Amino acid sequence: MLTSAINLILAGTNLSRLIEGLGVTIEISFLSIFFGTILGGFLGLLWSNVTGVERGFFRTYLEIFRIVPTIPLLFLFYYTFPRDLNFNLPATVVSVLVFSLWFGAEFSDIVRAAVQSVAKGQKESAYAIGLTTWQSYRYVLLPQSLVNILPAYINLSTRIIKTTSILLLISVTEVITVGQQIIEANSSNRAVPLVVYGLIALFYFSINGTLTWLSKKIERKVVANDR
Amino acid sequence: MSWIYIQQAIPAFINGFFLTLKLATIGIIGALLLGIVVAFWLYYQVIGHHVLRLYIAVSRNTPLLIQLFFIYYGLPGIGLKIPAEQTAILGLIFLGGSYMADAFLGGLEAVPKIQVESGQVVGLSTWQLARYVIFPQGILYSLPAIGANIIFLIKETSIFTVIAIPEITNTALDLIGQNYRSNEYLLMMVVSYAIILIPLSLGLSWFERRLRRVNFSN
Amino acid sequence: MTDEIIQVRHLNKKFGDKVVLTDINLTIPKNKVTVVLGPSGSGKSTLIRTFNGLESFDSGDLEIFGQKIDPHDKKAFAVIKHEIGMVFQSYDLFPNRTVMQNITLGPLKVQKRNEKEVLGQARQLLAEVGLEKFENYYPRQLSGGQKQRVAIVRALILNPKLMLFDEVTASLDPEMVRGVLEILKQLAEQDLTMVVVTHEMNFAKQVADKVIFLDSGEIVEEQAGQKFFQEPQTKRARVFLESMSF
Ligand SMILES: Nc1ncnc2c1ncn2[C@@H]1O[C@H](COP(=O)(O)OP(=O)(O)OP(=O)(O)O)[C@@H](O)[C@H]1O
Ligand SMILES: [Mg+2]
Repeated sequence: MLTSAINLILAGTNLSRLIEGLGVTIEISFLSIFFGTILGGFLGLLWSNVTGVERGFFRTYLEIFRIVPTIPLLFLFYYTFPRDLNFNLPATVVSVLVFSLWFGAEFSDIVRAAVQSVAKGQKESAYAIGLTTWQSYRYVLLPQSLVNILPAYINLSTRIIKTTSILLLISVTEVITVGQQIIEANSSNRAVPLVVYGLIALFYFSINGTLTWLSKKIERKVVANDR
Repeated sequence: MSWIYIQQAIPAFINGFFLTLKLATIGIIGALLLGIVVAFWLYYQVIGHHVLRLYIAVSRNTPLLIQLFFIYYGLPGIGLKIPAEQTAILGLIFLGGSYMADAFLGGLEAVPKIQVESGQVVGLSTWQLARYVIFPQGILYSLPAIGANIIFLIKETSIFTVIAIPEITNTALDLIGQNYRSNEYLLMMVVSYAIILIPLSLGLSWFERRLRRVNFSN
Repeated sequence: MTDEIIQVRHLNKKFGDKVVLTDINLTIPKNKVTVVLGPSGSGKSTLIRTFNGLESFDSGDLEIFGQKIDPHDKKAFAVIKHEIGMVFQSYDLFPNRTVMQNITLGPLKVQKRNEKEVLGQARQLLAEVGLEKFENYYPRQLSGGQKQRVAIVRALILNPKLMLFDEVTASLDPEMVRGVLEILKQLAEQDLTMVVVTHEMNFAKQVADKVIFLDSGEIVEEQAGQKFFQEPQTKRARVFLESMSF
């Protein structure tokens, strides 16, 4: 049963369709990370410098995206907003939008924390040697923060890649949706789901595992540099 | 927005709310226990810790959704049928166990070496050292991460909807499908999660601050 | 033989590729105070940490209380560990336990002694170091000097045959140093074998029955206390003493 299921998946276009679905998963993840990085980096730099009401605004944005699970967020942008505000976006665009906002929120907090942690001592010494605010960011704060941020940044990226799995709930033909189609078409073989989901798990594992490994490596470097 | 729809949906949401709470509680307690065992196992590098590293890697690097599908739809292929609710709990423990293990391990490793050494110097056995020195201090260091994991795992329960468990998210999505209205139900869904998560989040950070004040500085 | 509590012969130790101790030969006399001196990084801590098993060594012989230590046997110190007390440079009290709980952990859990007797001895020792009022305090409520005094009591209550002190005043504020050194001096007068690593030269001069001078992991001089300070035999020791006499 199991071997015939494996043969079934390897036969015909099944495998190439799965990989195509994986391509969609990766594409959405990549775009979300890209836009989320710009958004989060920008907000994080602003945030690290504000107080009072503005600070409250950033916190609220962050907490909303932290507290609300991703599925309701996705549905809000997929069903509610388009109808109420009268616009229509393809499902992939909605996904990228939601994940970018989510990534941006989380990333801005990472940026803020990193800049502030470097800032404490360094800001003063930067001023002491006569750098302007912009120069102190450009030459002192950013380069130091970037290295410290990288592990958390990669970790966040693996999270968003995992979260794309919920796109199955709206009409995006990503890897799991393709997997379901293949399972339906081969419903006579009861071992097919095991093989398909095992394979998809392996896909995710290879991508995220590689990223995690990379971040661990960088992390060790950072720790070594701090010594 | 229509009040009628909200009113009619309240009983369903209450059921979903308590189901979410129940599954999350059992799953998180399971994850905590698994996490402690795995963390100590790794901390002391007992034989088999390489297998545990692999478990952590698989658990952390694959989505909960796939883990659930694998258990719920995949395992019957080799004759292992597990009902939906048990699948959900199992999945949450499988996922959460690795996160909790990392949190605990981070805490244990944060206990200063000198603390371990002074325990050894006083003559404590490995077990006594764990019980009186490493564990009570390590758990304090790991509290922030554990708190964050608890919140994370509660949010992850919304994924249970994909195996048709009538928890909060599933309740909302079902009602949306039946009545073609989304505003009311999404609002109720968000409120339901907020009722759990906001007090929890506030409570956890209060608890953390308190413990930190009491115990940390030497 | 009987008046030597530790014997070391041809002991070598590396951390990875880095040689830290080279061909160490020494004896630690019983009921005497041995002071270990040497520049920073010379291997003083590493040396005395081999005496209670916190560091292993690569080759050579180490004999403690007449018992030969196998460096590769992790359990080698299991039986004698609680007869060797140690106080470290940085504060090492358990932050989650009160002063009294810190002190009684060893006697109650390791030596399984009678609780009443232990509490009695603990109070007496605390009184001797002037901390009788602090038994229910947590370490964070104490000053650095008080913490080190508690750490000393925590080691003494196990009734050790040998006490190791690794720069116990090095992280104290100057005004705290004196009180702690006074306690060490009192101990030095009792019948207790002590090995003391310190940078406090006046104190060393007063208490040292014997001096071991280390430089770059080698023993440069092993000498009677007074003689070492009055007429050091080697150039390196003279340079070191001069540099310390500011
Ligand atoms: N765990 C370790 N791993 C690698 N190298 C170490 C380790 N501990 C100590 N060393 C190195 O061994 C050498 C001796 O260190 P040790 O701490 O014994 O010196 P010390 O004489 O006590 O110095 P100090 O007066 O600064 O305390 C140093 O060069 C140190 O860098
Ligand atoms: Mg030292």
